[in-house]
Amino acid sequence: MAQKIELLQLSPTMEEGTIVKWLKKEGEKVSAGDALAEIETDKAVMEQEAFDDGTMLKIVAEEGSAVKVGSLIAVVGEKGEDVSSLMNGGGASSAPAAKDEGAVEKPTGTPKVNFKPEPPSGDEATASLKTMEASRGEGGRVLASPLARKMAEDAGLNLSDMTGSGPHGRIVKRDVESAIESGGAAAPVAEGAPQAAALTVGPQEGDEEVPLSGMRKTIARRLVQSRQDVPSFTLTVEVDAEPLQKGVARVREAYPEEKVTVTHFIIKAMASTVMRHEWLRTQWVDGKMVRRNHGSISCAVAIEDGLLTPVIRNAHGKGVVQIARELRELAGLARERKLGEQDLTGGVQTLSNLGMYGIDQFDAIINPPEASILAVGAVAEKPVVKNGELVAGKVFNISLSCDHRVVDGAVGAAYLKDLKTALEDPLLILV
Amino acid sequence: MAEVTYRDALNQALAEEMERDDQIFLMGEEVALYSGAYKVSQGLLQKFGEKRIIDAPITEAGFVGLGVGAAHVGMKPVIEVMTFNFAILALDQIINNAAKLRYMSGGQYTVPIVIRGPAGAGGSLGAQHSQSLEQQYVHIPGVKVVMPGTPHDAKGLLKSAIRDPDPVIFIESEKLYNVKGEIPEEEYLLPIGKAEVKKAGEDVTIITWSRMLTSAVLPAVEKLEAEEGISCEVIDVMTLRPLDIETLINSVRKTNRCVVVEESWPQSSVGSWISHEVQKRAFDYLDAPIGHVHQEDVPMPYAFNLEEATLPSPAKVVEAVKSACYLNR
Repeated sequence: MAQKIELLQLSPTMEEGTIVKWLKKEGEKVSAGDALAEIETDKAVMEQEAFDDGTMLKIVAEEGSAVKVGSLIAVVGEKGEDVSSLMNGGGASSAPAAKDEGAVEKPTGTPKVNFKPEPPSGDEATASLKTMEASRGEGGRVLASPLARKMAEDAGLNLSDMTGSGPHGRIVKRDVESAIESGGAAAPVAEGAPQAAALTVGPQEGDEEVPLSGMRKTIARRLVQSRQDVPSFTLTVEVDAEPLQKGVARVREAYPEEKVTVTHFIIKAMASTVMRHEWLRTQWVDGKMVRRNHGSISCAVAIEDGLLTPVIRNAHGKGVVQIARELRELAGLARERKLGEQDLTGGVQTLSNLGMYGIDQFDAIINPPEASILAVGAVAEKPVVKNGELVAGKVFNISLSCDHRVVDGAVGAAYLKDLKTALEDPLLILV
Repeated sequence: MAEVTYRDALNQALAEEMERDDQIFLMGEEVALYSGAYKVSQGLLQKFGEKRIIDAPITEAGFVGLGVGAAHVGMKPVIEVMTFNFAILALDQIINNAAKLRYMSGGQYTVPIVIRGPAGAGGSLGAQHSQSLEQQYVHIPGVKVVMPGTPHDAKGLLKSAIRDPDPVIFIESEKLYNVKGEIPEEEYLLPIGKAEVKKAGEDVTIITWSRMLTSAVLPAVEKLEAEEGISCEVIDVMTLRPLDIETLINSVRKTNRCVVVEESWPQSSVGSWISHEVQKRAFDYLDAPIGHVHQEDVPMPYAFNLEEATLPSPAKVVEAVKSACYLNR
C-alpha cells in the first residue's frame, strides 16, 4: 500500500525544513532505515529516513523548496501503484504537484456521521472541563485524537482554541467539525494579518528582501522568548588577566599543537565552579525546577549568517586540552551545519566571548532553559592599584546574566566571585 | 441457491474434493464408522471406502504426524482433530514439521495438509474443551489459518484449503455446525487470504471472524443502527494468516473508528495483533482508541450462565462501539 512520506520534525524546535537533496530517485528501491533526503532544519542539515520498505513512487517537494513539518514530500509504495488518491489527499502546500484539483475536496467540512452526540449532563460537563484544564495545565499538552489533530492541521485550526467532548476533555472528530462549521476559517485570516501590516512598511525602492533561513528564525524566536519569559539581571566583575594568560602560555608551550586559548580555560573554570553552585545548575522548565548534576557548557560559535551554541559535555571532568579539541571539532561541524540535536542541547550555562573584537563589556541574552550566560570582554591594559601602588595591569570584564526565577542576586554574585578567583589563580580550577 | 447447514457445507466440500483428487484422504478419531464426532464425515466411508476414510486411535501427535509425512510425499491429507483443544498434543508436528519443511528443505518439499476441526465454546463443555486457540497457529510463519463463520464461506474455503500447497489450519466452531445458510448449487471456491466486508457502513469498522460474526456482531449492529443511528461496517477476516490488512485499513480510514471482536482471551491474541497493525497503519485516521471485545481473561466456567457471561455478547459489542463513538457516558 502506498505510503505518504511527510516531512518529519527533525529537531524539537523545527517548524519547517528545506529539501536540500533527494537521496532516492523516483523508481528507486527504498528499505526501512535508508536516508531519503537531506533536509535543512532550523539548526542543521539532517537526513530523513524511510520507515518502510518499498519503491520511491513520487517526489512531491522539489529540491530547494521549503515545506512545513508534516507536509507531503514524497510517496513510497509498491512499484506501479497508483498514487493519485494520496496526492489528492492534501499535504504540502508548497509542493506544486499537490495542487491538483482533487486537493480541494479533502477538507472535512461536511460531516458524514449521521448520529448526534448526546450533550453531557451538567455535572459531567463541568467535570470533563476541569479534567481538560488540568490536562492542559501540565506542560500545556492538548488531548486530541490523532484524527482530530490531522483534521485541525488540514483546516489550519488551533487545537488549543477548541473544547474537547471526549474523555478527559479529549478533542475528537466531532469537535473539530463543529469548530470548522462555526467559522473556523478565522485562523488562516489571522495568520495573514501580520503580513499585511508588514507590507505597509515593506520594501521601498533600493531595499532588498533577505531570505530568512531556518536558523535565523530559530534565533529570533528563542531570543524573543528569552526576553519575554526570563526576568534577568546582569552582574559584572573585572578580572586580572595576567595569571590566566600565563597559564595559557604555559600550556601552549607544553602542548603547542593543541592551540589552547583563554576561551578553553574559561569553559573549564565555569564548569568547575558551577559544580559547586547548584542554583546555577538549576533550570526553570515548564513551571518546574530541574537541577542538572553536571557541568556541561554551551559555547556560542559565530558562523556565516548565524550563531550556534554547541555543548561541551561534562566539561568539569575534562582537561583544557580535551576541551580545546572538542570545541574545535564542534565549531567545524557548526560551520558545515552538521551539528545534530544532541550537540546543541543539554548545557547548563553558555559562554559568549567577544573579547577578540575588542569589546570591553556586554550583557548576553540567556539561552533557555539555561539559568545563566557569561559574557566575556577583551583584555585591556589599564592602570590598576596593587598593594597600594599604581601599576600597569591587564584586565578583562566578565558579565553574568541570570534567570531571577532560579538564581537570586546574592547567589549569582557568590558564583561570579568564585569564578573570578579561579580565573585569577588557574591552579584553583583543578580543585 | 440451496440452504444447508455449516456441517453439510463442509461435508460437501470434502466429498467434492475427494471425488476430484484420489490423493486426498480423511483421517481422525471416529471419522469413519461413527461419521465424525460432529458428523461432518457422514456418508463418506460408504462413498470412498476405508482406505480413504480412516479411523485413528486417540493419538493426536501420531496421526497428525502421519498426515505430515503423507503430505510430504505427495498425498493430500485432511486430518480431523476432534477439537482443537486436543490438537495441543500435536503442536510439535504442526509447528516443527508441517510449518518448517518447505523452508528447511529449500522448497524441495511442500506439506499440502489440512488440519481441521472445531474450537471455541460448545455449551457447558468446561475449561479444557471450550478454548479458542487460533493464536497458537497465527503466531507461526509457515502455516495458513482459516476460520469461516458461515456455511457459504466454510465450503468455499475448505475446498481452497485442500488445494493449497501449504499446511492450512482450518478452525470450525462447535456451535456453528447446525447453523444454516445459502450456498450456490454450482461449484465455487473462495480465496485464502481475503477478508470480506459483510456489511458496509460509515461510522465504525467492526472486525471479527468465525462464530462471533453471527453470535455477537450482527445482532449488535442491528441494535446500533436501529437505536443509536450508528452505521457499522462489518468485516469478517476469514483468513487470520496471511491477514488481509489492506481491506481492514481501507475501512478504518473511512470510518475513523474500530472495534475488534474475538472469542479468544485478550492477551497476545490475534485481535490485539490486528489492533496493533491498524493503529500503526491508520494512526492519523483514528478518532478513538481501538475497542476490543474478547472472552474474559479466565478459564471457561462450566455453568451455562457463567459461560455466557465470559463470552463476547451483542451487548458487549454495543458498548464497545458506543465507546469508540464517544456515545456512552
